[in-house]
Amino acid sequence: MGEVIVITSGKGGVGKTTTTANVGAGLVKLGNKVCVIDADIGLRNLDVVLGLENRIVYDIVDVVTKNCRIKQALIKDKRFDGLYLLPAAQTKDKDAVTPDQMVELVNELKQLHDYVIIDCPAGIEQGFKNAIAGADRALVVTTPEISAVRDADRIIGLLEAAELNDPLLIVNRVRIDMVKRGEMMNIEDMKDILAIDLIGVVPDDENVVIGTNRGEPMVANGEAMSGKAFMNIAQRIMGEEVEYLDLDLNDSFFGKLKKVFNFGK
Amino acid sequence: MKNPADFKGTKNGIQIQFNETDEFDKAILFLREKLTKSLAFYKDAEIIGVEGRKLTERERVALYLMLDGEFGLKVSSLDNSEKEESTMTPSVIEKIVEVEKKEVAAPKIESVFVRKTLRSGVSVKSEGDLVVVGDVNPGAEVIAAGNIVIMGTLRGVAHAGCKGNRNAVVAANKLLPTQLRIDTLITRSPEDEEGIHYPEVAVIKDGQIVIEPYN
Repeated sequence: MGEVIVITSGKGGVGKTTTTANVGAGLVKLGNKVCVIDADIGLRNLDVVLGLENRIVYDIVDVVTKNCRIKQALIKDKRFDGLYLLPAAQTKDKDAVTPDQMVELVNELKQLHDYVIIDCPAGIEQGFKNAIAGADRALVVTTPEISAVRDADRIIGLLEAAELNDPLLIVNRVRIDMVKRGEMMNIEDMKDILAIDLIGVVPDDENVVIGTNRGEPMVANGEAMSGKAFMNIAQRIMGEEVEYLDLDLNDSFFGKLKKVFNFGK
Repeated sequence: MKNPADFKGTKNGIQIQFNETDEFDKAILFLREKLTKSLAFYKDAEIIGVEGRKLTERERVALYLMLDGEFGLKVSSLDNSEKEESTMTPSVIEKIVEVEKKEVAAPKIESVFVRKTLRSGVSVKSEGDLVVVGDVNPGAEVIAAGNIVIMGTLRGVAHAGCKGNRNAVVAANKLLPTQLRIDTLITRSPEDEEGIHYPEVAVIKDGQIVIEPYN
């Protein structure tokens, strides 16, 4: 029986889809069978980020309206053996699916995969409610900006109200140079307000833009720092203790970073 | 036609003269009207008795409530001038009035106690005081008719004395509010607040909100 993880944020554009694609691919590289679901109906992106958009025949709305079987809608990724995508519909909107339908769908997929990862849309309305229905746990993605943290706080409150307790935090698009200059929020301030445990820090990386345009997840690129960070997150999801990346060559800063994070589960 | 009742002046004070034929309710209404019109005239008078009617216990209380309760007149006696024994002396009547007042008293105002951090989007209200053991994050709001105490960091919006209370205070371990309101005054944190690491209390002094260290 697999685990269902929803990747959410509240704020748009912080990296949920990128995280879903990369963490999904990363888990596959670690030997798991993974299904990633795009729950952003009407504004689908996960297929583009994974480079699978030309292979879509059926989508999530077809599945819940019983227009097709689940297996017909799942797209098998040829680069990552074990990765499957259930795409969103582009011509419908978020009212096309109900939370109950999501629960039914997700329960069926749980039987067939080690991990089911749901890419949640931005916002707190129907799309969000659909995405979290049936999830076992949540990862909250944010960037080190006040507006993103404000929205993340709201989302964490809503997750806790929906009994998805102990969500874990991923801080994305960190620019260490700006943090050092005091121009970007540091992780400690964010943890102070959000009060949840950290599971990953991903640096801002040009490769993400390039990879997205090509439809290639970062974890496929051995060199990219962001790819390494996502792989580490995948390992931590599986329960491994992984040291946080040295995002900066400055030893004393890394030492400080080590003290701030906590490792265990 | 005679009035249902009248105030009769005597050398000792004022007597209330009832006309036997009329109903008590009518008489009371009439007296009330008279007092409302010329309260200044009757203000310092002393009611020393009643004539022309044998009042029941209930009627006595009603009369007392109107004379003393509504108009603040001094009532030394509502006895008949015929010197009848009455168990309803003014002091007994006062006791009854007191008990009646207590029973209709205002409902107890409950204060609210919250033992967790309030996240963005959460709003907590109180008709009394409000205590939070936890933080109040930006985007959260705490509103109380009374005082607000936060054993944590206040980063959201707090409004104390929201129903009109200039004496209400907002206290917090770390006072870094987005906005602070007491009664009808609004203020916000000064730009450079990070240096302060002790508890503070916000109060109204001289018509504006000031923040003092707790101690």
